[in-house]
Amino acid sequence: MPIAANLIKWDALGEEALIGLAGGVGLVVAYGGLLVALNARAQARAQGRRTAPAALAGGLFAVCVCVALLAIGFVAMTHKS
Amino acid sequence: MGNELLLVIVIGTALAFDFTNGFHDTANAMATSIATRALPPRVAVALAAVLNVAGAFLSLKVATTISKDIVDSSQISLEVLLAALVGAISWNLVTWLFSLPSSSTHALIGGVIGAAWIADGSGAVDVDGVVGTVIVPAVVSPVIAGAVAVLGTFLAFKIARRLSGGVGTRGYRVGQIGSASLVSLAHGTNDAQKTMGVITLALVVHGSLDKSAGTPTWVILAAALSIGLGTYVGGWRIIETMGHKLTKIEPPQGFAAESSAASVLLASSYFGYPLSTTHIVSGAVVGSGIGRRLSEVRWSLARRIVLAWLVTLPAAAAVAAGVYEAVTQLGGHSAGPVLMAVLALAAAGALFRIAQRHPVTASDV
Repeated sequence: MPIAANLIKWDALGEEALIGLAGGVGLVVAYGGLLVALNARAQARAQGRRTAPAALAGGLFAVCVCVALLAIGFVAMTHKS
Repeated sequence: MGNELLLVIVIGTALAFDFTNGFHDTANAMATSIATRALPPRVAVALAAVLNVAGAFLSLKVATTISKDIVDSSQISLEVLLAALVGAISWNLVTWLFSLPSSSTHALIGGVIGAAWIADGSGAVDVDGVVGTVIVPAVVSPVIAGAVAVLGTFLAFKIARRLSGGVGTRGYRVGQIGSASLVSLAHGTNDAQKTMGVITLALVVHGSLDKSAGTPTWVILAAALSIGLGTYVGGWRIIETMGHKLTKIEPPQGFAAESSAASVLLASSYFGYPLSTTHIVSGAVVGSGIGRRLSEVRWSLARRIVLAWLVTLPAAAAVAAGVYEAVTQLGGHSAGPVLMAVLALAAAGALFRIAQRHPVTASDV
């Protein structure tokens, strides 16, 4: 185990796992939220209603999270350590 | 004069490696998008090609690391570089023939290890460095990507149940195009630059470029175009494996797999591991199959792929060692490299002809 500890950067691997998890799952949830909001809008339109403000706000928030995650990804791509 | 010829052969071989890297790895970004019909096959590979070329210009960090930080240019020769590249190309072509996704990066590292070992003895290889920065991340990265994809796919299907058919399917297909594009761009920033680094290193070893000089513009252009062309040719055999054979992929699954892969890929890249896009995307595709239903994954194929990964490093190393020995025996600066280049081309041609017996084209994926 001490040999492995010397050879492997466990901290960096742990961070990689956490960031990968947060980014991957975060993007799936945020994009899913955007689709739920779009779905609510489509249903409201089909029924001749206005889209609920909560759905609009949720959709806008989801777009912001997706754009932020893509921007972080782009920065990671261009600023390798 | 002999040295000039050897340099030209090394550069040509490096660009050939870049080309095989491109068509071998097209599947990483686009297999799931093609499988779910988010994009027509030809459009998908064209998009991947353009993004790979663009990615090659985004950063030169990987190229600089390879040309200056990993190998001491005073300890390496053009013969070693040539042997390493031939070893890597051989493994890329053999795994392509068997439709197996495997890492071009690890094939190249294996090639360098094999050739350097034969040239300068076991002391030329930093075993601790190889274990810590290559082998462990190679094992851990696909597991992490798979775990992220399991959770991502589970959540994507939960969300998809709340959507009407049109919005769900169309929406996730559009999302897949975005996440696959991110993987393509990231691939360009990594893999095209490995070739740029190797060519720059060859120029420094030859003495035509100062060690402190940056990567020449023509090298960046040549490497970017070479990987782009390779990507556009499309490794349809591996696309078929990743998109159809490993697991059946629905749009929410494809989106979760590509998002997980992109996220782990960029995190590994940021922390400076010489990551393998292939390992990460394969792990994510298997994870997306598990996340949907365990039985959806064809485990016998997954085992064959993992076996290919295990063999990549030693196989490429063994070929490179043999090539180095042959080149130096035949005459390092002239006859040896020329004969080896001709033999390598003939072997590649033979592999292509064998592949034509059971061709896989865009219409099959």
